[in-house]
Amino acid sequence: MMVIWIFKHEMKQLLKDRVAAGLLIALPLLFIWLFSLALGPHLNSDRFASKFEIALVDQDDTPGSRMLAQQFETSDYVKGYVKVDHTSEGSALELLRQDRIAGIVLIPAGFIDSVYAGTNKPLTFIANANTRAESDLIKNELTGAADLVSAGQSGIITVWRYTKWGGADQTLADKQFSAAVSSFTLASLARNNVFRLETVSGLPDVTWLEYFTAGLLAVFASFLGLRGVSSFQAERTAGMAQRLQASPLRPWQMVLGKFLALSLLIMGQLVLVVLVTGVMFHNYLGGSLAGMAVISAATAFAASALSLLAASLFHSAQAASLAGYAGSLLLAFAGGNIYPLVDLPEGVRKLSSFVFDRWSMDGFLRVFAGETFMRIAPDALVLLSISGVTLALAAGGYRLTGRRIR
Amino acid sequence: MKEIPQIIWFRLKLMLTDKALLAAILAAPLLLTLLLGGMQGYNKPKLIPVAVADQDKSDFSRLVIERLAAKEGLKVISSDEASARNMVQNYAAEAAFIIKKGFEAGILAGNADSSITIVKSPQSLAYGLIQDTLAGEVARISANTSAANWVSREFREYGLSIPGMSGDIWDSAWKYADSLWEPEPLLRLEYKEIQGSAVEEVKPVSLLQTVSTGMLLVFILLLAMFNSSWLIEEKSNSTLKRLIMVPGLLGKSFGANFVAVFLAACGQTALFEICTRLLFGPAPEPFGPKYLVISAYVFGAASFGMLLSAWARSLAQLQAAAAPLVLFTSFIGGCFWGFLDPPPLLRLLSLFTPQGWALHSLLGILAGTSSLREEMATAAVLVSTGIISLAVAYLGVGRSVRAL
Repeated sequence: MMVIWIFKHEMKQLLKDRVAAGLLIALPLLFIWLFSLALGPHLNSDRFASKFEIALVDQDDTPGSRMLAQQFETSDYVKGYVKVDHTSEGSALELLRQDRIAGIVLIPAGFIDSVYAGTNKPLTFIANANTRAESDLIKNELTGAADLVSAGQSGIITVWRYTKWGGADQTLADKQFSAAVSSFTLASLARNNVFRLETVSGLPDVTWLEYFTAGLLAVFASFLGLRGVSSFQAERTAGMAQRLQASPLRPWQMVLGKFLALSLLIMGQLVLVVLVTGVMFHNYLGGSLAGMAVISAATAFAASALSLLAASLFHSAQAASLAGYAGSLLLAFAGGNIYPLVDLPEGVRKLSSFVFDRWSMDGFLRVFAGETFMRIAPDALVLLSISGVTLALAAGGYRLTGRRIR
Repeated sequence: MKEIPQIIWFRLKLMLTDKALLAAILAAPLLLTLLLGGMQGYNKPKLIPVAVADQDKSDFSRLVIERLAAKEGLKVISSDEASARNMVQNYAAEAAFIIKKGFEAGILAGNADSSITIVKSPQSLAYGLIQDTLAGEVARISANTSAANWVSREFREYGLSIPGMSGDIWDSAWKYADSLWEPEPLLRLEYKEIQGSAVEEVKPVSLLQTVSTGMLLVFILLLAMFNSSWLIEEKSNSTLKRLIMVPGLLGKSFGANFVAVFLAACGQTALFEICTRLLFGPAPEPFGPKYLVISAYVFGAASFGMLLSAWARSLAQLQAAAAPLVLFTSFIGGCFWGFLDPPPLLRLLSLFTPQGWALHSLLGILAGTSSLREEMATAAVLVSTGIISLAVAYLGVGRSVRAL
């Protein structure tokens, strides 16, 4: 009964400031949109390489050289990475001097004919020393391409010379030569058959908006939880805590009442934000409803338990509030809710296992990825365990501060 | 006039009594700096890391890896398959090349299809170019082997032989094919290097410097907002009402309290600077311009704190509004993503926040790309908006106290 009374009182207090309550729904939406705008492109960017441009000067200008250039440009891994400007040597040099390109590939006049004839006019690459990383990549790529030609030619030459040295007549030598040309050319063209491509990702298969919705739900749950801190502090400053010490109300009843009220409010916030983002940002909501309910409840428990712990540790409203916000921010960064865990140092990644924000985000990401209840449940279980430990610490802290008040 | 220093001293003493608040305000930005400063993937490294797992452990696989490792611009990291995959998944490597068991046997048999697995992330851009580089090396070994197989088979089928040749024909053909690569391959790449001249001299700004600057700006504003709560307390306990009875005292109290908030923020900046220098080493930025911008920002922050406190009706309202407002404007201002290249819309929005102006200028000072004129302009914007905020706050306080 005592617990229900506290619960009702807390709900009344928490819902009193309607503007602030409204902001706690509006702000997450604004933040999710802003985060997607600012950090979304980073999530989808390469951590080691950046897009760049090169110039191609085709002085050969034959169907063969044009096909060679086209093959390079249209390959899957070049499109969207290396932009090739077809230009003259003079313009290309000007572009390089202006630092607008990483290098110039020069196909000399008569190049294709020289390859067929085996005289091989060399390809030229003029690198920009200011863009070493990019020009090294192109140099390696061109060396690799030239090696394919060298490999084919060395095979053909070996077959031809050994056939002749072995004493074969001209007919057999010619036959072997033709067969070797076609065989080694085909082998060069099939150079990529040796590879099998696999794609793995440390990031879940969701949209940026879904990603940041999942990440920021825990953050805003923490912010709402801080209103519970204010409620504690208000009671302290008004002397109500001392009066309650004299009542038959036990510390655990006090903590449980506040905890339940706050949890319910946070859960309401989470569900509302999830539903609104589903409509506004088209976040996927077709997955497990039970999973969404469980992860929302577990997040709400964890956030309110944490706020009660903060309230029991700090005496002034200002310190508790400031430490609460700073702490929430810290936990959000440590949990990988702002920047992905894969970008954080190894130590922080390990530490994140103890941070509720991480598990909440993980659970909501699974919801948005349409995973089943059984896949979401482990995250909820971890969150409940964290809540239990935090709540026990909060009760202990409250008991201690209660003694100090007495 | 002697009451002004007294009020300043009294307010500073009150602020200093809350040790937990002081600890939180100092520890939080330092912890956040440590956390964000350690992030990876925001400064592109000079060498692209590539993981290689050799499951074949043959002469051919070793040769291919050795030649790949000799290429410029790549950092080849040898590991096992699981670690290599993990490195790609965690963005510690651009791609992983797993040379499967049976690679050499496949090449010898003339069919090495799918014997190297490339593991890449969806974001990987350079994997294809590295794959082509490796393909060139595999092609060299494959061509040698195919030629040796061809010659060996041909000699057997047609009964050919080289007079006076001792030893295995396969070995001989393989070595001959490989010898055609020395002293240089049959098709050469002529390499030249030119230095572009339009490079602007920019000092690299480390992630740690960028993050610590952003965090300092966030927490200066946060502390200024929280420390301005005296206005609400004195409004609600009628102190301001009593002050208004003495002509000029409200103005003096307001000014003195503002100075105290300003000094507290200066003290916080100094402490943070000392701690960051002790923890992360001395910063090489020019002293004067940096502290000109920071002082103007602190002035602006203290003024905005007064404005918010003049608007808030209760302490709870101030606490509910201050932190979200600071975090929101700090985010727009770039304090949490100053090391990224923002989209144009966000860059524009950042100029509507004091943090955006200050951060842009401070990062410019660190990079050596900012001029004194730009720094003066930033300081002028911050101070003038601060003066306007302060005037509005004072007028608001006067009106609300008179209405009481």
